[in-house]
Order: sequence, then C-alpha cells, then structure tokens
Amino acid sequence: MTLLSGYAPFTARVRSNMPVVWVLALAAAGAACIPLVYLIVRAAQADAATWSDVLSESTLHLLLNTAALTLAVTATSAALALPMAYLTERTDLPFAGFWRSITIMPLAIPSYVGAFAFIIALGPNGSLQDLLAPLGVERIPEFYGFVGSWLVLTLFTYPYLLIVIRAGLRDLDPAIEDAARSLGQSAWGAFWRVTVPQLRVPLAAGSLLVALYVISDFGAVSMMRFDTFTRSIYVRFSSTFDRSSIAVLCLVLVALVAVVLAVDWSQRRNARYHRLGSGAARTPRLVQLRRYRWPSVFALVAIMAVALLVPVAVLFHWLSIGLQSGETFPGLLDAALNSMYASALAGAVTVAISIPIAIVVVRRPGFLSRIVDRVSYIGYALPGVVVAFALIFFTLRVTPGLYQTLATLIFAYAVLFLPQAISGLRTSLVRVQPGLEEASRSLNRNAWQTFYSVTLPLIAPGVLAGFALVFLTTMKELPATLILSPIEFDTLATDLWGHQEDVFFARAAASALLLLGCAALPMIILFGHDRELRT
Amino acid sequence: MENEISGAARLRPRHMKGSRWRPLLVFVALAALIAGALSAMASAGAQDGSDFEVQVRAQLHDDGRIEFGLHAEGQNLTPTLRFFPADASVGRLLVSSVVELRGVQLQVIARRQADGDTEFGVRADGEDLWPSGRIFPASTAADVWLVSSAVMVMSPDDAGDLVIYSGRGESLVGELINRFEQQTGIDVKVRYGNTAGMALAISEEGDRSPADVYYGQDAGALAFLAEEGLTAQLPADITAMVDSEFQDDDGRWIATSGRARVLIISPERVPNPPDSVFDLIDPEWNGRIGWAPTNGSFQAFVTAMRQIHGEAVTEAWLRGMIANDVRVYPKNTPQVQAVGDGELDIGLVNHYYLFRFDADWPAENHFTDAGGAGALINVAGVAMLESTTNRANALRFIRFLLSEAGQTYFREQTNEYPVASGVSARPGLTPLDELNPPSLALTSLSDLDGTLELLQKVGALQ
Repeated sequence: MTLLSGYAPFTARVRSNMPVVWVLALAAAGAACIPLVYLIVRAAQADAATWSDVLSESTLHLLLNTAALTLAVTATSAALALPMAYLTERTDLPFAGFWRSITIMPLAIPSYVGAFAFIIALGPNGSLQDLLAPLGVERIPEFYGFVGSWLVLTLFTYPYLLIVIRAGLRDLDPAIEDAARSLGQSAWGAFWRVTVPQLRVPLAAGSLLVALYVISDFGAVSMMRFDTFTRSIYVRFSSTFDRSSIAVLCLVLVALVAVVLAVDWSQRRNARYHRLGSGAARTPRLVQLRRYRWPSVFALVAIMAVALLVPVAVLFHWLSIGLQSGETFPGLLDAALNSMYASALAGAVTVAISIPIAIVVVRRPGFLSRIVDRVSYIGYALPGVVVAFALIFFTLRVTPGLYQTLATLIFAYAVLFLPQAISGLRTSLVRVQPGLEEASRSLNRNAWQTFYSVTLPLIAPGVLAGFALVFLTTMKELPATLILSPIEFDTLATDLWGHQEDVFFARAAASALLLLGCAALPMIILFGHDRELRT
Repeated sequence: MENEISGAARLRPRHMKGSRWRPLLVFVALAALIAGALSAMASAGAQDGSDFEVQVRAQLHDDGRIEFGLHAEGQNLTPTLRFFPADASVGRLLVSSVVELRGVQLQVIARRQADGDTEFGVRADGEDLWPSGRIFPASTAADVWLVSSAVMVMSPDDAGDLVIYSGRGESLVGELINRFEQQTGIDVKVRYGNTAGMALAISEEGDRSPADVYYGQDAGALAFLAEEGLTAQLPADITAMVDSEFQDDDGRWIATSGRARVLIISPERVPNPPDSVFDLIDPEWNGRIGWAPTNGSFQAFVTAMRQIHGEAVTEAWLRGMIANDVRVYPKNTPQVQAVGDGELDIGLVNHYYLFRFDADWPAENHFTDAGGAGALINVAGVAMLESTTNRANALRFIRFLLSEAGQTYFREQTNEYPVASGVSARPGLTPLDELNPPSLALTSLSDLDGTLELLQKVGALQ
C-alpha cells in the first residue's frame, strides 16, 4: 500500500482527553467482566480433584475439536461472505436490494433449528434420500459430527461477516480503487490488491464474531453430535449439580478465547484507513458484472436455497401437518411482540453502550483501550447459560429489585452481544477523518454537538450494522431469556424451545417461521431500500 | 468509462443525508410504542377479572329426576351430587355438592314449587343468588339442557399469587396449571426451563429466590434441592397421599407422576425383543440400537445401574454398547421417530414418548429387567421452597397436583403413571403395581457426578 501515500500508516493524536467517553467505556467493559468475575468466584470453590478432573485428556480432545471447527467455519464463512458482500454492495447485480436483505436472513435461524432441519432433509432416510431413491441411491452418507457442524454453522454464521464487511464496503473511499485502476490494475487486480486489504478491519472483526460464535454455540453441535467445549459445558449444566466444576471448565474456555483474541490482536495493524486529503468520498460507481451477472445470481440462489430454503421448507412442512390436524396457535402474537420489543431495545441499548468503547479503541490506541476492547468479548464467547448465571449472582447481590425485569434482560443481552455492535461501529469509525471532528470543534461546536452532527451521521452504516447484528442475535437468544426475563415474558425463541422440547413440531415450526418473519421485517426496512448509488 | 476518476467530490459526505439511520430510529420508537400500548392494554384487561358470570343448566331425565350443573367461564362444571329427585317435597331447598371456581365455593340450590315447576339458583360462598330466569318448567321435554340466566359472582381479590419454577414444559403442564388457577383464583406465574437448569437457578438464587414451588421431572434434581436445604418439609396429609418409595424420606419433595424406562422397538424388525438391557450387547443387535447419553432420564438409568449392579458391570455394559455400534441421539423422541422411520430397531427411552406419536406409529414399548435398572421408574415431582413466604398457596398447588383431577390429567394428557388418589394407569399400559422396579431409593439418583465420570471415561460422553 506504499503506492498510496495518502493512506500510509500514520498515527494522529488529538489532544482532548474525553474523560466522559473513557468513563462510559470503562463502565461498559466492567459490565462485560461480570461473567469472568462470577467464574473466578465459583471456580475458587472447586477442590483440587475437580481441577485435575477437568484438566484431563478428554478436555484436550474437546479443545482440539473446538479449535478445528472454529478455524474451518471462520475460513469458509469469510470465503462466502466477501464475494457476497461485494456483489450486493458494489455491482449492478439484479434485485440488489432484495439480495441485501435476504442474504443476512440465515442469521435469524437458530442453529439448532437449522441443524434439525438439515437432519430431516438431508439425513439418512431424509427427504433428499426419498427423492434420490428412484435413482438407486440406497443410503446417502451421514454427515453427523464435524462435517455436519461445519456445514450448518457456516451457513448460519456467515452473515456476521457479511454485515460487517458490507458496512466496511459502504464506507470505503472509491478513490483508491480508481487510483489503482488508473495505474493499470484490472478490476480483479484492484479488488484483490486494494479493496480486500482495505477491508482488513471488517474482515478481522467479522471473523472474530464468527469464531467466537462457533466456540459458544451449543445448538448445532448438539444436534450434529460433535463434542465441543460448549456442548460439554451444557451437558454438565443439564445433568450435574456442581457449579464449581462447570466454572473451572468455563475458565479453560476463557483461556482458549484469550488465545483467539490475542491472535486477532496481533493481526491488527496500526494503519489509518480514512481519507487524509481534502474533500469527501465520492459515491462509488457500480461495477458492471456483464457476463458474470447471471452466474452471480445463480450462485446466490444456490447458497440461499441451502441456507434458507431447506430450513423454511421443512418448517412449512411441519406447519402444514399441524394445520391439517386443526391445531391452533394461541399466544404466538404476544410472543412475537415481546421478541420484537426486547430485540429492538437490546439492539439500541447495546449500540449506545458500545459507542464509547469503539471511540476509545479507534481514537485512543493504547494499553488501556486494548484491554477495554478485548474484555468486551468475554460475554459473547461464553455459553449463554453461564452469562445468565453470572447475572443471577450479580443482580441479586447488587440490584435485587431489578432481578428478572426487562432491565436485567436487556443488560444481559448487552453483555452477551456487545462485540457485535462494536465490530459494526469500529469498521465505520476507522474511516472517519479526525480532521472533520476537529474542524467542527474549531467551529465552536462542543464535543456532544460534534458527535451528533458530524461523527454519528458518518458512522451510520456501522450503527446500522451493529443494530442489525444485535437485533437478529437477540431474536433467537434462549438460555439467558429463559432465566432472566420477567416471569411469563414469552418470546418466540422460548416458545419455539418449549414446543420442540415437548415435540409439538407444528407449533414449534409456527414460532420459528414467525421468528424469521419478525427478523426479516426490520432487515427489509434497514437494508432493502434502493441504493443512492447509480451507475 | 469505468476507468475515469471523477474530479471534485461532492461537498457533502454522502452519509450526511442521514437516510440510512433514520429508519432505524423510527423502527425502535415504533416498536417501543406498540409494545408499551399493548402491555398497558393487557394489564388493564387483567384487572377487570374479579367478577364472573355463573349460569345453572339442567335437564330432565326419563325417570323424572332433574340433572343440573353450572356453566361459567366457558366451561361446564359438574358437582358430584347433581340430581334433583322426582319426588322432592314442595318448598324444601336442596343443595348440591361443592365445585370450586376462581376461589369461590359454588353450589346449585333448587326447590320444587307448588305448581310442579322447579326453581334453580346458585349458592356462592354461602350466599344464595337467584337468577331472574330460574324456573325449570315441569312440562320440559326429557334430555334437553336448559340454561338459566346469569348471576354475577364476586371472586375474592386476595387469593394471592404463586410463583412456580417448572422444569416441565408448558405444553405438558400449562393446561393443568391453568385449571388450578381457574379453580382457586390464585394468580400463578410460571417460569419454564429444563429440570436441572431450574434447580440450579434456584440454588444460585439461594434464599432470595422469587420461586415458591419447584416442579421438575427427575428425582435427582429434587433430591439435589433437598440436600442443599432449599426445600421445606411437606405436611403429613400430603406425604400420606403417595407411596413412600416415591418421595423424600423427610418429606422434602414428593412425586406427582411416574415415568418408566422401556425399550422402544420395531415390532416388525424385532419380533423377539430381549428381556434385559444387558442382552443388547449381544452381536445380534450390532448397529441396530440407539441411546441418548446426554438425556437426563438415560443418565438416571445409568446411575440406577451403578447402584444396583455396581460400577464394573455398568462400565462393561457401556463399553459393550459402544462396541456394538450404538447410535447416538440428542434425546428420546428422535429415537422413537427413528424406530418408526426404519433408521433404528431398538432405542432406550421412557414409556410415554410413544404416545406422542399417532396410534399407528410402527413402534412398541417393551418392558424389561424385572427388578433391575432397566425397569427403573423415575418420577416427576414437586417441592415447596424453604425460602417462600407463600406456604398456603404452595401447598394448595401440591395438593391439587395429587388430587384426582391432577392425577387424571397425568394419565390422560402426559401419559405418565398416576401415583396418588387411586387413579389407575391408562389403558393399554402395564399397570404400575405389575411392574417390577428395582428396590432403589430414588434419592440416590442425584449421584450424577459418578455417572458423568463413567460416561466420559468410556467415551459415551465427552
């Protein structure tokens, strides 16, 4: 990137100290540490035998399984998400608005529903087998275990990367691509040598989200019968009553997460990604796909067919069985409203909390901001049930009056999903020239006015991406909702869980489909509109 | 023209239009508004529930007797004593037995008039209420139900509330809890979760727990809470309702229904099913058997096997099963599904999963191991928390679960074994007293740590 002197590594220090922002960021980071404190308190009650029991050979086996799955899913998700982001954001793809909304929808499918649907559709004796039977296929190979988990988790987590990369693409200044083209690079050359390196921040942030999600996922691996760390923790939660041994196991998981976070950090360059010259970024022109136009559409259709159509078709199949036998679905509407309400609140609150963290991380690089950034990932990487128990412990000791109220629930969501909002915001914030903010200050706007009228509009794509991520993930969140919600506050996720647990598949399918619909609605509002850019 | 670089950029950055994040704010605001309005409406609706209407219904029988009952809240209530004799003396007030609805004791009152007609009324908590249309004419045709006009009955506002942490699903027991709520007028709040998870949540909450009652479906979880000293001793009238083998020795929890271990088999592919789970390690069953090692009922069964047959035998059996290529399922229902689908020949499950499928589902329950672990009967049960200040309502709920109404519900709706009030097992199911469960204290099922260790050691569980 030495070609582009205007974008060369450069560290700008602005003098003001932002005490309020620091206080807010440290408070948010402190909240994110609650699960860790809880685990340490509980693990301290474990005896030596528990420790040696947990740190055994089978734990090593679990660690290796988890690491392999995490690497595989992250790599394939990135391979899927990068071209999808570019196609939907930067090219003259037909129906781009539709594709922009639909390609992130798999995120709204809870991984256990997706996995279950795949087993029904593609498993031995599944629907695919029935279709292939006339062709002489006796038994299609089983895909339980690593392969199944890999497939399912990739299909339902790539949107984390997609959303973040797309926000990054929107903020990308097209001038450097133009410069590359003017220096003789082909369109492909400009994409690989300029665009992709410029997307380093969203790629890394999105990959981290995917990796940590895989580490904390229980639904897919339990359905696919693949032994990972989180599965082992959940199994203990549902069968042993010894919380201290669970805490010890979780601390080992935290160590694994720390390694992932350290690797991610070491990959980070102290580079500048914002424009240094005068003027503002031009609206990028759309790349003409020409003869790749329809093959691109076909590829998207194929991916969506597997990631979205298979689960939806299975759900509709069950629903139709239920409707034929005259089942009714009372209470679904309430659950849907509760889900929308809690998820929208969680999205708004989490984004608000994460703004100070994103600001100190991007604008004040240093030891303290690095700590703030890294600890905010802890809640996200831990199994949801552990975070829920940490908040029982914390709330009853600190604010017992708020226990099992909406406030605690939203707080729990924020602790769980903070990194998603930060990833979206950081991606946008690195592109904002500090000079613009400084100009605003020199024009006698105070810090808050500057933030509101200059920074916030500039990081709008990141705010949106962060909100969308938290909203979609909250819609399907289960363990914390079960324990911390106000009593009888049913959401679509708890309704779905309750009925599939008791094998009322039609009702479970109805909740799952409604969950998808409720998730789709805001995504269409947020992402489905036409681009302002034109060829 | 792709290669052209445009010269002067627009002065205004493109995002300054703000059109990208305005919809977000609008959406959040709308969601908050709608939800707020709806919750206000819901709470307003909940408050006008203290009065309800009651009607008397009656029909003439061929023998001259008049059968009567009550209709309220969209349901018919039938008192045990509900026949008005043909030869009742004129002017004498007769009273039916009591039915309870929303905390009110309701009776039907009736009296023969001089002209041979009969007038019907309602006695609510001792107060006689006469509807305006209350005459049952002597000339009424037989076998036709007539309905009186309605009287308003005040339900007591102070029936109080009750918080239940339920490890049993809403689709299993929600209807039963609704009935209790309707009958007593108690405002019941339920938190649903899984059995072990809810027990752990209570132990994490300690004496600050908002719960009054814990309701779970594994004796081990109930025993865990009792051992932690979190559950209270139940009064003798309750402990006397259930056999001592199905409750805690100190009365700190009590079973409400029974769940038997069985083999789910395909009658077509397994014409001669084995008599013992120990036969399943025979090469004959290689690749044809399934289990759900993460399932609580399965782990309770392995715990029972360790207690009865010892560690070595259990370990050998587990290894034998794995060597016999046992297929692993996430829980029990998929095994019943798989047996019907032809993917599996024999699965290790509980008896009631089969009844959730259609009657012609090609799978059968097969009881094994008289007196051994394979014949284990685990229970669903209930406990009152030591920390509750709401003992009267908690005990009322427990008595309700053990009443004839509660026990009949378990037989009809959850297909479990009733354990109290003389209610028999559902037809087609081997009765409880003909089963030969192992003589094992259910409380010992809480020793799950050893089971988990063993399952991990042999590689059944990581």
